[in-house]
Amino acid sequence: MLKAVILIGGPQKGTRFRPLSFEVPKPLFPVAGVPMLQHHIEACAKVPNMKEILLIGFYQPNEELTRFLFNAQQEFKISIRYLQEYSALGTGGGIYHFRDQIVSGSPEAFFVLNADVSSAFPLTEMLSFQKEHGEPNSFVILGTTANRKQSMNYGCIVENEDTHEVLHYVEKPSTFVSDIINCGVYLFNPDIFQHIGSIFQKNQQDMLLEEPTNGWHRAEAIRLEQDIFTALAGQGKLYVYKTLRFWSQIKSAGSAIYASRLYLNQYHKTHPERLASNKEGGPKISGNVYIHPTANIDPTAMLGPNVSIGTGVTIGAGVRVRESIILHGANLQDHCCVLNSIVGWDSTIGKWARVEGTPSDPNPNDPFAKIDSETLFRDGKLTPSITILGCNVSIPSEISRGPLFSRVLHRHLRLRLRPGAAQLQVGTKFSFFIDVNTCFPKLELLFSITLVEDDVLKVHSSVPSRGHCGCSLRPAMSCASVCDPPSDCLCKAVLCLVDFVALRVNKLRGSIQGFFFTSFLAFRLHLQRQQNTQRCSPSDFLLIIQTTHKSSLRIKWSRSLC
Amino acid sequence: MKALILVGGYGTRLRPLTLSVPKPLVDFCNKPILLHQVEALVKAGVDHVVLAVSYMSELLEREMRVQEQRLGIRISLSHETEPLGTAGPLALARELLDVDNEPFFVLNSDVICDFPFKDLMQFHRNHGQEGTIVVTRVEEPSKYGVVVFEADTGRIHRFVEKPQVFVSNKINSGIYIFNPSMLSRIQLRPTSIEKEIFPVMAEEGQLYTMELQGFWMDIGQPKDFLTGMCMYLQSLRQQAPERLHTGPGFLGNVLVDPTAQIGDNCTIGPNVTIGAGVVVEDGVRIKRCTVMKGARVRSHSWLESCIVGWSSSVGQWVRMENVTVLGEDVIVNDELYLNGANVLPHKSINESVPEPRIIM
Repeated sequence: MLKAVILIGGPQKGTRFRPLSFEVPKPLFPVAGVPMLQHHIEACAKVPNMKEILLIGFYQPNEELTRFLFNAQQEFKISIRYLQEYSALGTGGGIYHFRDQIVSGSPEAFFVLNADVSSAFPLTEMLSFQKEHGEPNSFVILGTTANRKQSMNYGCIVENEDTHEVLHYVEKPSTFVSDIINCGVYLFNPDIFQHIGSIFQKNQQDMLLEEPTNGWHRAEAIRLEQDIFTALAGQGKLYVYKTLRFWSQIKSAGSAIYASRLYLNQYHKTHPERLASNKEGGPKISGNVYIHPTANIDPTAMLGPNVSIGTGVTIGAGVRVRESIILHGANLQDHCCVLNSIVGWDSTIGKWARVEGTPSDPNPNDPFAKIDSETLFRDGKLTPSITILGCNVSIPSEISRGPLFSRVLHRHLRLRLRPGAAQLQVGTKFSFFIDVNTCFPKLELLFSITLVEDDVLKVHSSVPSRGHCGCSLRPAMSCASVCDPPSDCLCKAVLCLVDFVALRVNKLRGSIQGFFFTSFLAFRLHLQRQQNTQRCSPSDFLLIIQTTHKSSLRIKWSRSLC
Repeated sequence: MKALILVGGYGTRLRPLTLSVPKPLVDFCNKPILLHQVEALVKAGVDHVVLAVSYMSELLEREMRVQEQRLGIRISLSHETEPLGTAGPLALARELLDVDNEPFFVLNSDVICDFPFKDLMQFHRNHGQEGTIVVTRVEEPSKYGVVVFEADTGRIHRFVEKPQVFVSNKINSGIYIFNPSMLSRIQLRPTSIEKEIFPVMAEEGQLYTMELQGFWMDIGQPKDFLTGMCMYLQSLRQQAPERLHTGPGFLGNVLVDPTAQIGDNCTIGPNVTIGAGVVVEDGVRIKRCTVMKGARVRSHSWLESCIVGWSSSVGQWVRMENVTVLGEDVIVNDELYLNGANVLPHKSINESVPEPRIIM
């Protein structure tokens, strides 16, 4: 009999998926209409003789996860259990810690899958491959081909072309090693625990010889890739099964849209009923579109290609949605246009508004190109990205949010004063400078501040600032504060423009309008106690600064405690 | 009476519109710019209009023949083959103007306002001197040349070009009336009327000003063209409100040609001009724009501060703003964003233009 283990990580992982992962654990984020994990579970449940699926991660049990597990068990008729790690144990440490659970019932083999990948999951093929090519009790890594430049962002596998044995394994090398990369899907058997065990012992030995700094975490945190595969390579135990079928990592929100496209395409074979089609009285559908049955869509709307519409979404007359994910409860009013964006839960987009992001798709001309692991900055400029509207965001009518060149900055400061205690103190002031290079006529900065209390998203707010125009520069706002936060929130964030200096005005470009100027805007973000309590709880905050015109934003932070 | 309109050359500042049609024939609020001026002159009793052009256009000639018939007046073209400045063209047209010793009007072809020709003539006869300049009040006089004059009589003291300190907020509006005797002051060579002729006339106490009431705009470039359009439509509301279009889905001052078709669920206005044969499909939002004859705006698009050229087609779900100008026969594909794009005629746009630039 067989088992499968899915590594789902925890809240400290998947930071690039914020702010979406603040609302919902990343593995449950809907991709192609269903939670990310469901694609994995479905693939595992299809394998003959699969008896149990174990999810290993360090999320606290929450309603979403529990409900998902319950529904999944009902649907796929297979035992699915969540094993919670007591702390982040790494990709190897988790399965080692729960090895007894995994080997109970004596499975001859078990799969291990990373939650944050999207794939065709050729699991049965991996099984056949292991029987034909591998030594008995050998392990198999699923691999795929990447282009030379991008391969260095992944785990690289050097294979023996005849036997398909893994000769060498390096995780994210700095020089080119191989264009075969690790897909994060493995086929193991109980022998793997001997190997992990010996690494574990070795770590413990090493740790005893050193000064205890981080305590007992280090020994038990084992990374499959760096610690296990690197050691196993060339020993005749590890093999690679290469697939040409689709595969993509889901690290950032932009990659969720790309993964959606891959899965939606797969639905033609696996779930044709999930794909919307052109019907009388229904919206116009182009390409692959998923629409949840509870969504309400005007027949004059046009959707697709690559669109997922969540539960309870309302789409008004003449709306255009393309390459986007619309999450639960969102309301898109008449004539608006949403391109390359993720519209968050319960958000509203006003009439004739335009919400547009920049796709981060891999080069379509290169069959092996993978989606870029996006860095926030490149050469001091923010990289253009998918436009993300978080939870409860309201876009006014006729406004354009994030056209092609939108920059969304996730700025995330984490202060750990003492582990477990209140981390951000009320009265703390954060100052930051924004260095702006932008073009006439208006710079508009949209600030969204989100406070995190106890890992729960508490405050959503946006503070639009009218920027300065052309020649007559003047401070946009003397003081601005966020909208009233929910009453159960203990803290309020106040954002003030403190100062601004304009430099290098009016460099004319071309024969028509095009004034450039650089200015420094100094802001202060001030946390105030909202209620009369002693406890102050924000553990974190997220500041999103968005502009609607092409600009380079350079941000310098400083922090002071009052 | 006679009038000279300084039409000038290629109208390069109003490109791409002037790449298809000579500037005097560009439609402003559904009527060629020149016709606004000529019709106002005819109403004041002018029976002979001379157009001073430096670039001869067949199209212009043909159109002027038509207007001659229609208005029952004479229209001549005075063609300068080498540049003569702002005063030279008057000397060139001397024979046409200096006929019966009557004063003649001179105006700049880019100017739009509530033309005060009758009042101007009256005022000019009253003071009996050689010339009268119409001045208008502006907010930022240092961008222009200002006129300093006696408040009660209107006699001009002097002119100051682009003053650094505040001298006056009245500027030369480009509308004048002169006695034919003034023509002897101008030689047939490149001459600047503001720099060479006017100062001398002012010195001799021969030059007076009349202040223009109401709006004034130099519509020689797209940004000002749109501003001028807003002012003109506002004045239309006061003088002939029945010409403006009202109804559900129309806000503010909107001028719509009777042959245009507007779809359902549109919101048009304020400050929009829709030309003949234009088709606006369902769910379109247009503000502060001019849509020229024969253009088509497809459904669910959003336009603000744009000029859509003749026979152009704007696709579905397009967003255009910030003085985007489409020349003649431009096609903008669906779902694009144009910010300050200046698109030459016959171009097809397939990609968004996020920042102002010229598309050739």
